[in-house]
Amino acid sequence: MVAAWLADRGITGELTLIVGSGFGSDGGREGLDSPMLVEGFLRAVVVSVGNAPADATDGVVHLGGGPDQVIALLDQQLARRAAHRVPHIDRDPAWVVPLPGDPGRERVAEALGALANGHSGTRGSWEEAGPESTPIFFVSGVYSEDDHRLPGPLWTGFDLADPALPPTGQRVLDLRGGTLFRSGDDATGIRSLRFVSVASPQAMALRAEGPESQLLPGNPVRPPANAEAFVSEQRGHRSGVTTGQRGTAIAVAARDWEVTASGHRIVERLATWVADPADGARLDEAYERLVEVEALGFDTLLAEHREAWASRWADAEVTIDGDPAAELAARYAVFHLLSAAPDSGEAAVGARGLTGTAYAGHVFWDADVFVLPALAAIRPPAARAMIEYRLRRLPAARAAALAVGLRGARFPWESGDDGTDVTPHQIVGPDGAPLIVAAGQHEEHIVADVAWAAAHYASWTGDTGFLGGAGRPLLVETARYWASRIQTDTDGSGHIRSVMGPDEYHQAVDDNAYTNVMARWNLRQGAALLARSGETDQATEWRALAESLVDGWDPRSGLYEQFTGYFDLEQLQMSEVGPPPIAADMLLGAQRVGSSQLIKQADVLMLHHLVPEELTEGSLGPCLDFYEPRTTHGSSLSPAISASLLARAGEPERALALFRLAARLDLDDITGTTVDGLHLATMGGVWQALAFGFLGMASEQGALAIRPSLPGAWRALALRLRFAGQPIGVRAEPDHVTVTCLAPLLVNVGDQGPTWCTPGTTTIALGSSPGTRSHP
Amino acid sequence: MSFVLAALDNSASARAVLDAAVRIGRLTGTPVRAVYVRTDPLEPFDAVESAATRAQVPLRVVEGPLEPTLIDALGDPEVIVAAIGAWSGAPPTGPYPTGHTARALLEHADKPVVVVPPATGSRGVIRRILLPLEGTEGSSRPVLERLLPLLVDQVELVVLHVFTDATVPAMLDRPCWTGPSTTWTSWGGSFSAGTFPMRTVSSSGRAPSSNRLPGWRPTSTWT
Repeated sequence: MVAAWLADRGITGELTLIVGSGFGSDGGREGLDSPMLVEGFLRAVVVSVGNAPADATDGVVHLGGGPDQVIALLDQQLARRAAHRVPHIDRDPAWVVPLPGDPGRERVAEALGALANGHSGTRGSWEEAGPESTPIFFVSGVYSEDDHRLPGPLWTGFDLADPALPPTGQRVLDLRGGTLFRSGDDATGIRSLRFVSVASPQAMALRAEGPESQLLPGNPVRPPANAEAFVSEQRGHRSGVTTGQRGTAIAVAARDWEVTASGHRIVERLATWVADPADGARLDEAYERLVEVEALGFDTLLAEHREAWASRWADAEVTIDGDPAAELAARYAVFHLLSAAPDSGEAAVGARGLTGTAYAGHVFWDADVFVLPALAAIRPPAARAMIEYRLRRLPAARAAALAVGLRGARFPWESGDDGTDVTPHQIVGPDGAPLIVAAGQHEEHIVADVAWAAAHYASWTGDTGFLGGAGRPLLVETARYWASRIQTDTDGSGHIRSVMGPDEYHQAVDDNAYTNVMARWNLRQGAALLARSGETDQATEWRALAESLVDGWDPRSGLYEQFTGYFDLEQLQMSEVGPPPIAADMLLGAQRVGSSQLIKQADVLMLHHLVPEELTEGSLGPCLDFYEPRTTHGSSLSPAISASLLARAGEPERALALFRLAARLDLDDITGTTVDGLHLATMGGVWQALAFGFLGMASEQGALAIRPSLPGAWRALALRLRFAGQPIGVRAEPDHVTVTCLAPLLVNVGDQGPTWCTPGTTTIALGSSPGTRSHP
Repeated sequence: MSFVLAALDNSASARAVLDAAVRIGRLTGTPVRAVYVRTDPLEPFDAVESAATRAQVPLRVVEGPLEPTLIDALGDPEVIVAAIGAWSGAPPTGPYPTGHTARALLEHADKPVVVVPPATGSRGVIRRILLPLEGTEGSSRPVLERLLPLLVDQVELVVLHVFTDATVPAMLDRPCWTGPSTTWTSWGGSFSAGTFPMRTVSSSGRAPSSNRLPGWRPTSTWT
């Protein structure tokens, strides 16, 4: 019970000191203090102050000394705290990720070690960052005039004692506590711990200690590299820097406390920020906030931060028994998903979150279709904030539709500050001639993706009023767009021409199945909402239009054709090219790939992932058999979705290989682009593969469907999440499923029919073949 | 005393090799010495001798089997760079653009070896060196670490980031025909950081010379 109480406050393992006098056996009887050695204290520091020789129990440090020793130990701890020593972390191998130490991979390391709280993000650069380093501080949703996310002042930097000497020590990211810990040799190295508070979203803190000659804190806040406009000032012991351009700015204020004795220096740094995209940041306000942060102090901030992370994990924990590597990688993904979006206001979740500069912080379908479903389950308020971002950009989407002579709302492929399309439309090619970038023009499926995200959020969270209320325009205005976009031929069939689906190897195609089916789904959803408000004529018209849309279904083959003419392309498969993943466009060239059946990622299959109810029952298996051998997985979005579908189709071993690829994508820098930020959509896909693939969860008419399909190496898969407004736990083992809930929960396990789980824990046996294909 | 070794044979490439060695000598601030391996005691080497004399390069003639003797000469700790002709006689037809002697030397060398095609004419002082590097720890950094300390004259190094089948990233989120996207920048940045971690590097977009990688790719220059 004590262990659980401490764990709820983020105090686990090595952070716990257990002192007793009787841990060993005494003549065959268990020692008096042995009951304290429970599983929850597995890695605790256990000290015996007893004198009995039988106390030499494994893992117990025998100090002896009785009660006086207890007092001495406590004094030691208090002295550490009074001296502001760098706190320890619990180096539980299931929860810590060591960062690469090779200077050549420093930029990868600092992306991997980024800390964020949804509001702001700081990369995990060494404090004494050298030229190989790219420290960055971002504030969510703050863009520069040219619609690039604005780099803010840096608050983690120290001066470089000797530019010739690389930083020393090992950085580890503590997923459970949300801290970045730097270990160093006590005598010669620098140790530090930093965090971006999730309990006080505008507080950031860093404590470091090391030899006086090496630890040179310098100015606690500095302008970022290549800052074009910044103001730097000092007010007493506090420093402030503002970076920005007209009307958009980020101000950071920070203060250092420094103690130097006997050649050893301890530095404690507290920092805070202010950013308001509309009015610009006021440094005065940053100083005022800093005073509030100082009043809390480092230790209180850390305690509250750890407790807040413990609370986040209570709704998001992933357990994979039998596969610690996959478990850690999955937790790593969840950690960064939880860090990506704030719980309130609006969340502009860029493709790389708050961890790097790639894509200028622009928001893609990555946010709506990959990240949001995960957050809807593990952090619903953050998912709601992501939807709020889209809602606030409806005026721009309406204007975009109007600009091309259509109605409704057309959301942009790339969205930044104000919701206008910021996709680069044209670049200058190698020969000086302009090259057209087609994605912005043709990837119109983003319109339905945004609507789908809103509907998924409502369905999963049970927020039934959302679609009829605040979320209504996202479905109705997008449906209105499709209604004006569809061309009806003389035979009455509806078509959407010149689009690009998720498979970007084939540009400007007609009747892309993904686009058309998503548009059909969108029209039906919009029609349902219109009918509810009495607009029956329009609803009827939209339903008829939805029915008329061609979707590529070919009953003879049992396949959906990806777009008109796809089946006539060169029948190239990956077995003839090489083992995936392969960036086939780069290796074979645009023309060759575009004239073949090779696809970059799930396109038709993405429909099975998002809207299986829109498809012919039983089509998942044939479509997987056909499209998967043609999929290059040349997109970071690809492997996790395929893993999810393969698991659902009863092929968990094939799914596991792709799951591992996705889960290690950033940890192993498989794309070569982790330097510029983590692939959040992949991380969302990783969670979705666990939840919707291996556990086979789905929201079906208010019930939670669970159809597990576990690989042989996994003894159990368990997720903590929220569904229909309540926290739940789902654990699947080969022969049964365990559901934990606080309120009655309707579940359908293994298609055995709906059954109510009463509050507490319910175990449901699985049928004889839980891994068989059981879904469209 | 350190020197540049010019490995000569009786072919037309001897002059080109000597010329390259002399230019490398200027670049590295070291003298040039030539070696000729006489595999047949009756074999005349007048042409080699006169070429060395014209270039004012001392020539050492040694007898023995060709490749082991050359490898042995290269092992002299005072040799800092070697120059050798790419081939003699007909151009090679296999996958490697060198003859077997040059290849043997390359495979055994633990120091820079410059392979000189026979038709190379004199181009004066070397002002620029093209370094195609794949950016891996094992291949790129040793090249730089061995090469850079040798250079005493002003020279521009143009580093070309080259992907091989083993190093090409497996995924490309923005299609390659969309041009120099952030992906290219990321790759360029990683390459630069991995190759010259402690130095200042500038990157710029350059048109590719090969159509294997359509679109642009970044090259990094360090001057």
